Amino acid sequence: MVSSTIGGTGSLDAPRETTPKAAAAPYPWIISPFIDLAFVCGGGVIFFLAVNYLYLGWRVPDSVHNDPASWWLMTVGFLAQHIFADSHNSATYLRIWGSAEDQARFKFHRTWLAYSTVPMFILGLSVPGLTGTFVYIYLITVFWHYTAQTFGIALIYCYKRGYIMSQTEKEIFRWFMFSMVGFVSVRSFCFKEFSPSNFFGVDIPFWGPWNPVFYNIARFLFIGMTVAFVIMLVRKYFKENKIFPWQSMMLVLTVAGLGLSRDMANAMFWFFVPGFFHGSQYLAVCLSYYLKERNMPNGMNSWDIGKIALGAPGLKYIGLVVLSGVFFYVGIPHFFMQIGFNYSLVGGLVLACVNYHHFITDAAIWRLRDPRCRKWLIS
Amino acid sequence: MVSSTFPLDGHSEPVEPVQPKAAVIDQAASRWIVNPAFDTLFVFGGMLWLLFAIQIFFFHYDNPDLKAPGMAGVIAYALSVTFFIGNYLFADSHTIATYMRIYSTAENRKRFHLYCYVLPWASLFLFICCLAYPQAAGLCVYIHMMWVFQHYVGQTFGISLIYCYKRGYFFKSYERETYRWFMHSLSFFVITRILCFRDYSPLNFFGIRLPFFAVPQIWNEIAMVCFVGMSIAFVSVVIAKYVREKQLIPIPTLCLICTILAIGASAGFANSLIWLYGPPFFHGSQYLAVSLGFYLKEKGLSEGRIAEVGSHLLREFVSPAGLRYWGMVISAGIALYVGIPTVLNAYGFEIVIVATIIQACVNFHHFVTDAAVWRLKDPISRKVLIA
Repeated sequence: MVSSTIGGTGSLDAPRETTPKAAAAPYPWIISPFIDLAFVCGGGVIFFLAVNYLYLGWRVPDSVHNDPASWWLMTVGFLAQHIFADSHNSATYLRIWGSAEDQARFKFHRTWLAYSTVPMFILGLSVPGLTGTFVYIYLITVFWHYTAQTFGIALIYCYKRGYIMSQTEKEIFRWFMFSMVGFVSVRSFCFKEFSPSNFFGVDIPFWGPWNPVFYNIARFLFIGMTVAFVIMLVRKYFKENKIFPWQSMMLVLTVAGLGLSRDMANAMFWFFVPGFFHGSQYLAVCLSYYLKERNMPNGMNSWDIGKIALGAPGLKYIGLVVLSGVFFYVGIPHFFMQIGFNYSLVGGLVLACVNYHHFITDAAIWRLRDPRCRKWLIS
Repeated sequence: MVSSTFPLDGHSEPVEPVQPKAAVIDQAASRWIVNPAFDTLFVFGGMLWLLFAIQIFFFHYDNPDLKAPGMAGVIAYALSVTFFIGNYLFADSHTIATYMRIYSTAENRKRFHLYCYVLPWASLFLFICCLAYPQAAGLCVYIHMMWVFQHYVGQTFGISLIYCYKRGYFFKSYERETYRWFMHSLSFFVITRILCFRDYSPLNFFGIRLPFFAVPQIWNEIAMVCFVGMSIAFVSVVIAKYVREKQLIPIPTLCLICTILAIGASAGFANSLIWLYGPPFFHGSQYLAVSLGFYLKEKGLSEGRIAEVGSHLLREFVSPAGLRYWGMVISAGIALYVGIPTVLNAYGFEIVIVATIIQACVNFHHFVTDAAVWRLKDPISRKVLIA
């Protein structure tokens, strides 16, 4: 999401350059303070990680039958999975099939890119082992996708709160995030223990082990970029008296926790992050965009925005994406299971196909460089 | 569906056209609900009988064997795939079509306030009771098993009336009442058969233990007499109408009547087979054809192009509005009948049992709501349904 962050041509124009100074200050939240804190910045993840740790210790809830805490956490997990995680892919479709203008602009993503998932799906069903490869590619790229989205949303908060970065500062921020992705990805190629061998019943290959020198290089780059990023923040504070927005900081720390944590802590992060961080923040941004595109007045107060988001248009939107998510991740595997295929295998294949389309489409549709997109995302 | 057949107050108003017959016929831009091929397959039973015939031809009165060698195995697999696709496309989704009708516009939401905002809670309450108490689940499913046939008959009657009106075959009031009570008597006969005979009342339905009311057999005998009497009366009406007015009952109407009679009268394996293919390829598909047609024509009415929509309905079914409708009903059907049971499975509930309970609870709401929303007496409904 917000692909100016990883835009091919590099330059990301700050909104200051195109927005008249006299214009009203942007609304500081994406939806509202509470929703942003809980579902965009990572508050929900931190809260449930704390609850998980307090009641279960370093253990991921694995069955509702074990104890009351597991029951509640699993229930929360199921709900988050269906309401936020599975459904957030569908939000992309509502964007590219949204207004007539978007339909025309993203014709390739609606047609050829979407069609290309059909042979991919058929290949996965018919060639043994290929589903595992597709899921492996998904697992390799998913952290990059999470980080890119986090970076984009962190930038939105920066712009909304007047923390405008120079081109160099933005590049330092971008490459700090990239270096984290590089470190996590290279680590998974160098060490088998960082690469899952089975993903919900699908056997995963391992394209390694790479020479540990690559790991050391990635680690060195990551540490270097972290130092550069921290220096940049401190310098900006002393020079311009500006503090990096705490919402952006929470976003960066949550995604860093996901990438850098190990063992059971990492499993706990992966239990809550897809629903309460990645999926929910994506839906919040898409919902905000969807409502603004449909003429939600600019500068509307947070209470009213929250009310609209939880009113008929917001609920209709959420209903649509949740139903589509259930169709993809429950309906299709269930249908193929009934005609003789393995449920987990088809589930993994759907995940890989849907996300292949989602990752590429996302990189095209959320561009802060695009004036129209920037207008709705930052206003 | 088309509840002029079963008015809630029990008083059967004649469905006299509010406009001159010529004008009504003129409005009926199409003699079909969709088009001849679609109607034959999916509205008046063609697909059901085709699948029935294929299965009997290849497997006789036996279950298809997916591992059978040669053509039989391919046919068994094709039948299985067709059945599952049919369930997703038509059976699971058709109950959702009711919600698309009542929640579609602010006017409908206001008009059907009871069905939109009150009765769903009753279904939810019933669902929770059924999950908590197996006896309640058994009772619900048992009642559902009887009610569902009456629902099928009601819908078949309504759709057969639509064909009659579309083709200018207008019943007089007493003729329509004869037809109506002939259909009622069929329901009465089938329901009493379930109530009176253990053979027609399964002990266990998809893992749910069912009660048996053991009603005295005299009730079924009375029902049989009523049914025979009403059958004779109805056949006499049809013949008299032909002799007097030179009008033949429309073929689609006749097919609908024959199909519902076969569903009610069949027994043993044939009955099981009909109940396998009937929900998706007779009841569900005809419901969706009518309700999606209604949805699109209602939109067409507001855009002043109802005649165009009515005469090219199949094309409209795959228009963006039509595809959105399909997407909604199929996804919601999956969420209801697959998604919820799958989630509850993690809590120790059997998927099949939960799906069966959901079917019963949702259908209670569906049956009652249907009887309220599809009224040929209502001028706008009639105009849209018959167009």
